[in-house]
Amino acid sequence: MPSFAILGEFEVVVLMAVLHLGEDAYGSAIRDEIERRAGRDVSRGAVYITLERLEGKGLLTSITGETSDSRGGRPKRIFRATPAGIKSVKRALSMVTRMHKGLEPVLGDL
Amino acid sequence: MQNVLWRVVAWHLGRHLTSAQLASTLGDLTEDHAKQVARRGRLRADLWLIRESLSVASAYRVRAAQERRGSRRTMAGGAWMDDARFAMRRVLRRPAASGVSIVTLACAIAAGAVTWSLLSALLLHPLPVAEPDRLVSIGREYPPAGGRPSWRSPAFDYPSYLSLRAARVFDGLAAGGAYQLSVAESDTVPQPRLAYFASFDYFATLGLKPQHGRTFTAEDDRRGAPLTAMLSDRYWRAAWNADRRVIGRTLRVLEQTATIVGIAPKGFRGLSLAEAPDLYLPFHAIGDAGPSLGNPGFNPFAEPISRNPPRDSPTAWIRIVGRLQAGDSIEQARTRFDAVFANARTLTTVTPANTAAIPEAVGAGIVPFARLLVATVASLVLIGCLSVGVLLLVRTEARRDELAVCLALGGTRAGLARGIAFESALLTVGGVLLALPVASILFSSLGTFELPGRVEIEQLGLSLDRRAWLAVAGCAAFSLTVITLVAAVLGLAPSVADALRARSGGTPRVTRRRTRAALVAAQVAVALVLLAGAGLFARSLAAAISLNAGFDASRIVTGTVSLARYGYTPERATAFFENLRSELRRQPDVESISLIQSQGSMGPMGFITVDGIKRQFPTEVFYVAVDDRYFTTLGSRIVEGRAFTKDDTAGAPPVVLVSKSFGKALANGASPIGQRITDTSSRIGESPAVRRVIGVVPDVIMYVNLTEPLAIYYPLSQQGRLGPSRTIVMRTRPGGATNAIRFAMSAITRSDPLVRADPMLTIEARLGRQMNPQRLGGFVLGALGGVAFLLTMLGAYVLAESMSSSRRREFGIRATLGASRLHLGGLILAETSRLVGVGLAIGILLAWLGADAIRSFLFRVEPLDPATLGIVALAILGLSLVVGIRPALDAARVDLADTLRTE
Repeated sequence: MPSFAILGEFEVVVLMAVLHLGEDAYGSAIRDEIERRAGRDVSRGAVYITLERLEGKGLLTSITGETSDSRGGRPKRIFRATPAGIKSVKRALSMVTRMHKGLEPVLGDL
Repeated sequence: MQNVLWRVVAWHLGRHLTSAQLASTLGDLTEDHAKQVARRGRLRADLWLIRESLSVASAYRVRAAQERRGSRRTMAGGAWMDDARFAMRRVLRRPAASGVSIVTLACAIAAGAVTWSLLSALLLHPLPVAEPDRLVSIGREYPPAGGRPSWRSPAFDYPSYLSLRAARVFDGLAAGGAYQLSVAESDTVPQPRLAYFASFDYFATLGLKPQHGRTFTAEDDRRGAPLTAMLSDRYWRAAWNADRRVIGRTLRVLEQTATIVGIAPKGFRGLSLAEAPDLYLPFHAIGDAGPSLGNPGFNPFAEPISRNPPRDSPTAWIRIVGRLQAGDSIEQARTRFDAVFANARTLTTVTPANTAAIPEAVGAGIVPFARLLVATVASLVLIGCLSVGVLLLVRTEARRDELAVCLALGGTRAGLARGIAFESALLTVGGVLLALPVASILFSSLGTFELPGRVEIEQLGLSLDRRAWLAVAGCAAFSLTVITLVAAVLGLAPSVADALRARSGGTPRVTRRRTRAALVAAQVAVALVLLAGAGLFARSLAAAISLNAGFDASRIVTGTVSLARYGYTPERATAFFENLRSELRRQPDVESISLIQSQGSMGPMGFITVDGIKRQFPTEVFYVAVDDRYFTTLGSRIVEGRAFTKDDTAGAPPVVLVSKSFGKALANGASPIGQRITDTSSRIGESPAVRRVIGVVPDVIMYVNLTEPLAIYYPLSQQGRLGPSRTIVMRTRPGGATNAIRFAMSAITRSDPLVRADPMLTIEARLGRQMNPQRLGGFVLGALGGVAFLLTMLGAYVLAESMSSSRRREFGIRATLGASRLHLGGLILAETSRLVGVGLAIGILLAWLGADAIRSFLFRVEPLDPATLGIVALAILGLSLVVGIRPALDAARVDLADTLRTE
């Protein structure tokens, strides 16, 4: 998978949520993490589709986690960022940073 | 209840998610649903669950749809699919214009396929027999002698046929001869049918098997055997409803009962294109059931009457075909044949049966006819493609803003051209499919026509040749592709700047206008050629049917009734005709009636004794015995001398009348009255009668190729040996010919239900029938020319309209600068007429180039007849100006302020 994959804004957000959650990055938790940190409502469907797209791009991998009663005996699907995924997030953020440079008088510090 | 909700959610999600996705999603939902229940209560949590599950399902559904679209693009080339879809939309958006294009192409393709099928049936595959290359037709050639040129004849007498059979030169030898006989299917009224007396090995020699029943056996084919019959496929289908149970049933042939034993193979129409037998009878049955029945003097098995060319000898009635032995060439067969069948007087001719099947007149006339037909069809295909080309060009121009913007946004010219090509391909496919029903209509219309050589097209049993259809469709598609590419190149040539320039009201580039104008000019040229051709054929037909200036040929009905085949003696026949004459006199539509009898003719090689000197005449001299009312019935006046009177009886001095042309030939311009003509034949022991010419009568032209007929008329009363046939001649009241014919036919049937007369026709119709190729040509060219004319008018209108709208701003400025409305309208009309004028000039040039191709079909009209060309050219020019009036009025009413406001 190309390491230079250009990510959309929501893809960056989802990837960063996965990185924040570490070993506990599964569908509901990722959605909660985005809503908590970004303060933005996101649809469950959009999160699932984006996770699968990122997995398709080779930026995430997934494994089937343990089952529990609270989940009705159903397993979690745990996502992890791949090195390419981490590189893509860094690239996206660095691009924003570079674009921000010189705009401090206008935008202030982020 | 909870279970039901979760089942519904699971079922709904399961429609869009895989089982692994479903398990983890349901796990997430269960976990969150529990939190929602704790926080907001069960009801709200359940609503939340429904909303969430719908959101997930919707997201997966949308993604699946995107993936499907993506895979379609990958599989079939998405851009191509889109192009095809957009092209279809464009075609459907303008149903009228698309319909015209499709119909035009369909007409062109159908006409091409029908022509191909016709020529293929005529020239390429006339005989559907096994190994046609080994099948030969045998004939005789009489070398020149005594000033007579060589003479070929395909006819043999019976003894010669037996000698040929005995020679065993061929693998198989089949013989037969055709006669028209009165045939009745069970209880129906007898009808004249063409019966072919075929030797028992006829079908075996041709390598054909019956589709039902059997062929004749040697047992069937002997004198005195019970009469058997085979039906042709066409007759079986038409009169017997293709009933397989006809085998073993009977039909009446003259007065005999024949048992049907088989049905000839499908598609087999006999060995000559000019005659398609309805039924086959055993060869030797001709002695029991054939024409000899009513003519005891005719013995079909007799020795030839003389050793001279058996041109008119009734004993020479047999046509023979042989199958070459394996490995034999025609030359080898001829050599071996001559060795066995040596005859100093004659030579044997061996011709491929496929060639012999095409009558000589067809062979001679068909090549120019085929050329004409092919040229006509090619013109139609061309004009069809031109029309579609004009349409595409106009559409492309109408889209030039859109195309220019697409190019500016990164679209490729190839991609845009592909869209135009798809549009053209859709129109072509529509035309190809519609061509099938159009071709079947054309086939049924053509069935009523005859080809040169009296080949009835209906007899050919034509069907659409699939290869022909595909080939013509391929040609049309190719031509259209070329035209489309031109249209695409011109349509895509403009840059964004050009498009903006056009938007600002500037006159479009001259190049595009010129191309479109050239296409319309080409249409005008083709339309002129086709319409002028149709006009020339129509004038030929008119010239032919007005040949007899001395009387009204549309009111003179003639028809021959031959009673020999019904077993009439001359005395019974005379009583029959006198009874018929008195019946016809009572018919109010018949003004006058006369009976005549053809007495044969003397060919240009024969001698006629005039004043004791043997003389030859340049064309055939016809002998006709007429009653004293003949010339009164025709309504023609005696030119010189006197007519026959009742005093010219059998005992009176023998007299004759001569036609004006013969009188001129007889006396070299002086008066022939008083000259003496000696009869050419006489009874044994009697000296031939010498007849005095007592008058000259106007020429009666019955054949278009014999406009100066040489005829000698005898009084019927002075002809002692009248056979059992007469030609009935009636003068009818104006417009009463049809009624008179119907009455005469029913009167004949009333007199004897068995008797069937030959078709009765007016002289005008007879002459018209001889012009059948011209009628066909006129019909084909007229129909195609009509289509071409309409398309040309459409093209001229589109051009004028487009000129008027694209130059609106220019006209507005002209109007502001003082140009009158008349001047502005005149500009459009002048440009239209200039363009049509160029097309007409090209058309006249094309007509000049093609003059030789059409010359042999014309009758008393020149190919470049100024009147015809002038009328057609004026009609095209006049109507082009008429259709240009509306765009001209639009241009005249233009107002600069309005134009600028609109812009």
